[in-house]
Amino acid sequence: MNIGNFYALHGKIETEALSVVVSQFAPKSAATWDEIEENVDQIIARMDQASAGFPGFDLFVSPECAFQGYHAGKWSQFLLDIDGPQVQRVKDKCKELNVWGIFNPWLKPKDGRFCDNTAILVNNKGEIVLEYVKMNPWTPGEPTQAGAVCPVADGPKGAKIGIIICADGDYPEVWREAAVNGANVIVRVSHYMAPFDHAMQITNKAGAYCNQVYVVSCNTGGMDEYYNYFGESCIYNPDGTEITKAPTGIPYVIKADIYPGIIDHMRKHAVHANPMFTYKNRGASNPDDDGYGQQNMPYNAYKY
Amino acid sequence: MFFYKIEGNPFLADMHYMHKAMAPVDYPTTKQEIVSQIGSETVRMGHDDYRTVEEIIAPLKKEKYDCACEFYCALFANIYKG
Repeated sequence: MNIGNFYALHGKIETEALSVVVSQFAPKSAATWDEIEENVDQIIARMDQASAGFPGFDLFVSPECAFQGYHAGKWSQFLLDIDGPQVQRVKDKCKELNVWGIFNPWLKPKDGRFCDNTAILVNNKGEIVLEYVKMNPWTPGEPTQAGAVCPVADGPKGAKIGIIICADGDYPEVWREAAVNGANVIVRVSHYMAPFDHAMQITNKAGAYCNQVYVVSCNTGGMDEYYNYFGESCIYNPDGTEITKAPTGIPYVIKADIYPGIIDHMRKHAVHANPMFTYKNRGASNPDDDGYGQQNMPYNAYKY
Repeated sequence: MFFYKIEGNPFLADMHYMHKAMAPVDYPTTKQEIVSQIGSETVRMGHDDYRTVEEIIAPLKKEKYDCACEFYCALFANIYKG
């Protein structure tokens, strides 16, 4: 669990277990509103399945595009309203089951912009407590508005949840942003297709290890008219090791109990591997810097 | 067969003993709080070198430590000042 550190991890760790269910499935590439409803039916059915298979779970995670799929020719005709009936159904289901949920409706923004690829965190009262707009759309094939912030919300059992979406995970800065904003669990929802299976795994592992955070990855598993969605949803320890992983390309459900309080404790007590301190205090053990290190921002990559 | 040989007779366990002494410390903390909590603890820093935690951390310039990494960086910085 904490193999990435030389020094013993001191102190008493108090944490609750966050029981996470990751449901890997494939939506239809909806070309009608009826097919949108079928996709919502599937989400609801998967939540019911989770309640039957994993009684008492805390957090349900569904893949990117689970409401709408991604119909190459017609997707933009079927954008949802954040206050609309489809989103309301999953909110009601969270309240009914007394669980939290993460969902990905593609929304028509109220201010008239084209489209936001938005992930939402719904609490067990059926309220949206976090909205995240994908900061790194999968250009050029995904012409959505790039989000500007990566917020983090308090979740159940001591979780501080950040969400990123699919291609976001190919950019290390969005993982770091979520971690710096306090996330001890980063959830990556995706609609990732071959040949990016290896890329998804290595970026998930790197995101976990480099930011000392649990990573929950939920990918579509199945096929549509265009692609093979490879699934391989996975939950990772903060050292990047796998806790549990779904198979390739089929509907599947994985579940793990993770311990968000351990992350908070590691960020206080880890001596050698504490990226949240060391990345902004580079070389802090150098005798010329008296424990402060270099606190400037030297990277041209972030000065554009 | 690989035989690991250390030249001379260096003392290898100074940070081990220091970290053992630091076990009760929670973060964030301050130098003063560490002294109050474990300042009188004796730490073996060499074969015949025993010092209190208060003596060891007295030269540190930082007063506040948000995490263990921050404290140990300051400690190492002082050690290598010579």
